[in-house]
Amino acid sequence: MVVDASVIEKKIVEGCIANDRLCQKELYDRYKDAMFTLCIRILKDEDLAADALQEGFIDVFSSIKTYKFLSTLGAWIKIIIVRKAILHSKRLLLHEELNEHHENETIEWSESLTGKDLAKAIYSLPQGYRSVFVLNEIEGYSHKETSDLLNIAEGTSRSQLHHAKKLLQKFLKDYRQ
Amino acid sequence: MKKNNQKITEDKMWENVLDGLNEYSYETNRTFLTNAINTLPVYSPDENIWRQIEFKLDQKKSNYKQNRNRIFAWSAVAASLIIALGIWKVTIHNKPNEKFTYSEEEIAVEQLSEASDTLLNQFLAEQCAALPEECDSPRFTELNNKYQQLEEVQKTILKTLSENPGNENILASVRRIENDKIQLKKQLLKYFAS
Repeated sequence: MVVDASVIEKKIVEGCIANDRLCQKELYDRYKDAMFTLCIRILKDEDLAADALQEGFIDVFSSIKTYKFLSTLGAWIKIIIVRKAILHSKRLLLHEELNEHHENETIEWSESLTGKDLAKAIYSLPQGYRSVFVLNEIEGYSHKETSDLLNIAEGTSRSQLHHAKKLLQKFLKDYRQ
Repeated sequence: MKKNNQKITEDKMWENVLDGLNEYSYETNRTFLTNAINTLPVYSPDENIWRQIEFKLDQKKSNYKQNRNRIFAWSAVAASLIIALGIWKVTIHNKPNEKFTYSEEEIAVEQLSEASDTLLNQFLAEQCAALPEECDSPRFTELNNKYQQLEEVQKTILKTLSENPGNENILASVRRIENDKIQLKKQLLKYFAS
């Protein structure tokens, strides 16, 4: 018999609301890798990422009774973890208020681009560029959502993304040489 | 006129072809980035993080219980005082003074296996000096790291326990970690015995 994934998630959420430790562990195990990876991508530092993950999940368990199944559970948890990671990186975040438009300028990616090289280049980006690139390109948030999360103007998000891509391309070119 | 119309149609067609090609090249370029994003490395958090979360959740729960109990206790005291005052006013106030006594009990904090920890650390140090290649093995490193992490967590929890003596939830965490440590000790001893 195939059990619907949303039914299982509903049971887990109910268990978490009732403070059932097994359900809390199950929820953590389901999302820990994705959320920890997201924290590392934003913060670059493993210790800071671990702190953000820990505090984020405590917030998740404390506020799970407010989850109304309007979005997927993963998306709901992701917002909490992203906010926590951004809070940890707040001191490092420096977003210049830029509103230049570069949308017509295409950035060429190599066919041989690998995840490993891209990861290395992402971690070389300055904090502000990296946060925008991770949220927009990897996590799929729109510029509006990204600017809300980072508390910056939408134009700044667009511009930072463009600068991030250009810088990534430069790093990737340097690695190849 | 007919020739002119034909020229316009051909130009329009060529524009469409160019647009199509541009779109194709944009999509292909985009695919290279998407493919790389899909193969980005994924990281797993340390097992220790769950223990810390569990510990903090226990602490929150116990704080909540303590607050609730405190409110209940103060309400009970207030209610008792009102009743006692009422009774005293009506009946007992002219009886001779009565003396009340009370006693306090202290719950001893559990004895932890510090002696066996020191012995194990000595034993491991001796074994590693004699068999360095055994201590470099991934299996030993994994077990030893886990053991050291547990010791760290235990220290933190014991510190919290000293600030909240007798807290049942913290004591439960201490016991849980002590059991995990015993299991790891067994595995470490088994590793050198095999």
